[in-house]
Amino acid sequence: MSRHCASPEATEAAGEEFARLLEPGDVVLLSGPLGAGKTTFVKGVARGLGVRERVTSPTFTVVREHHADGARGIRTLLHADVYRLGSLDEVVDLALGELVEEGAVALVEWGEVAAAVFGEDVITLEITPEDDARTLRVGGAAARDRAGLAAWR
Amino acid sequence: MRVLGIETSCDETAAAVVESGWRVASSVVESSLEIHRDYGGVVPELAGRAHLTTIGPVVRRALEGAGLDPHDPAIDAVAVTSGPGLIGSLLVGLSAAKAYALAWERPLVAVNHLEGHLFAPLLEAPALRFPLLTLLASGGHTMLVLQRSAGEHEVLGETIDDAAGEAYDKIARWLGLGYPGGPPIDRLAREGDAGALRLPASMLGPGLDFSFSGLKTAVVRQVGARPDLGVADVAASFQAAVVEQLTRKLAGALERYEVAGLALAGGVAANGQLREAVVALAADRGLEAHLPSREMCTDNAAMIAAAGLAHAARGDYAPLDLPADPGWSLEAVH
Repeated sequence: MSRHCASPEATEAAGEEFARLLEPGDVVLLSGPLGAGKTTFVKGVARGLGVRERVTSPTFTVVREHHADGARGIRTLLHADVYRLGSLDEVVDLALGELVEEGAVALVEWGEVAAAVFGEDVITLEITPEDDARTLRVGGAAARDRAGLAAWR
Repeated sequence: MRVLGIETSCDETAAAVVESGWRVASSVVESSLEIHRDYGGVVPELAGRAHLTTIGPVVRRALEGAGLDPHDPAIDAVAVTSGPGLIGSLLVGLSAAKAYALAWERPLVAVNHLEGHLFAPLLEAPALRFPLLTLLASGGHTMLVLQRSAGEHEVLGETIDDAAGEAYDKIARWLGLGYPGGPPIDRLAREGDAGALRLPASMLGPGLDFSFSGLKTAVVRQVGARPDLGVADVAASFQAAVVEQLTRKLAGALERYEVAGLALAGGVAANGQLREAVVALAADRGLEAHLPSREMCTDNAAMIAAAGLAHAARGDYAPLDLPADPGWSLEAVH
């Protein structure tokens, strides 16, 4: 079973819903082709985590840090984009795995190229576009025992 | 007054000396591309590491270029970009600037990279009059800024998702045109049909914010359904939509604010079609548009030294334990 979104609004709403299934320390690797709606989805997640400021592309600075409302122990949303990075060493240097230990979750765009750095203990979210619609599919070891995510697999 | 500026927020390692009256005594920019040549292809992958190997020689060349003693230069302050940018890259310039400030016993000035871009037009056109409306568009930022005087600015609007240059880079990469994406798309667009794709106009409301993420999605989606299209047609259609949005918001700002001049800044300011559109818009409103040279569009340290000079002139110095701030917004600069 996976999640079907008929419009960008539905993708954003799905992100908001997804946010409520996250726990502190989660690292989510987002994948999907250019224009798949990763930004739209992340905006929804940010809303779901109570982030008030504007969520813009992190491509230039690689990581943007947003203050969440602290619900369920999530105080920070780390939004990363490893698209610009030239090597896996640079992804290691971001130390996202360590940063999330302090009550944060990380959403990583183009994270699939650096999957080796993040290890097994991650949630993956693959966005497949087809015309206006999007199919969202969750995977990864960290999602396996999460009851709420079962419907997204 | 004479200020040494240091800039390492992204890919370029740069140093420059600027004097009162917005006079550029020297400006040295070493891009990663040149490092490739200097080191015969052995390039450290980390941007920060690349800066580390070049920062010393670049500063020395800037000082010597300005006719100064590189061991004890006659400068009044050391200005450095402390954000926004890549943390590893910023730290190299910041650490070097602190070391120079300490060794030469000169005050340190913290400069916001975006504020630096706003000073670039003044260096080439010191006679530019205020209030000045600047469209700052690059790979990391897209914003409309009203400057009432040098150093006194208000952000009127900015992108809500991707920067304009980022959209260029991503579309170019997707089309297989390489990085940076602006020059090849600008070149191809001249040969293509801008009406080949029917791209939706973004942000049609009266607000002055920009959006380029949806445009990127629309291009990818429509091209998928049109295998007959040539790359030039895609480039022309995409570029027309970007330029249309940038100039429409610029025109919107001109309706609302009384300005004496118009300026472009940032890497996207090198775009041929945008320059033509802005010249036409300015002519239509009876304004003069300042179009920066290619060297002034891209990251350089002369603009950082210029902003630093404005801060130093009012005694606005930074402590030696100044941290780098990768997310420092222009709104937070006073």
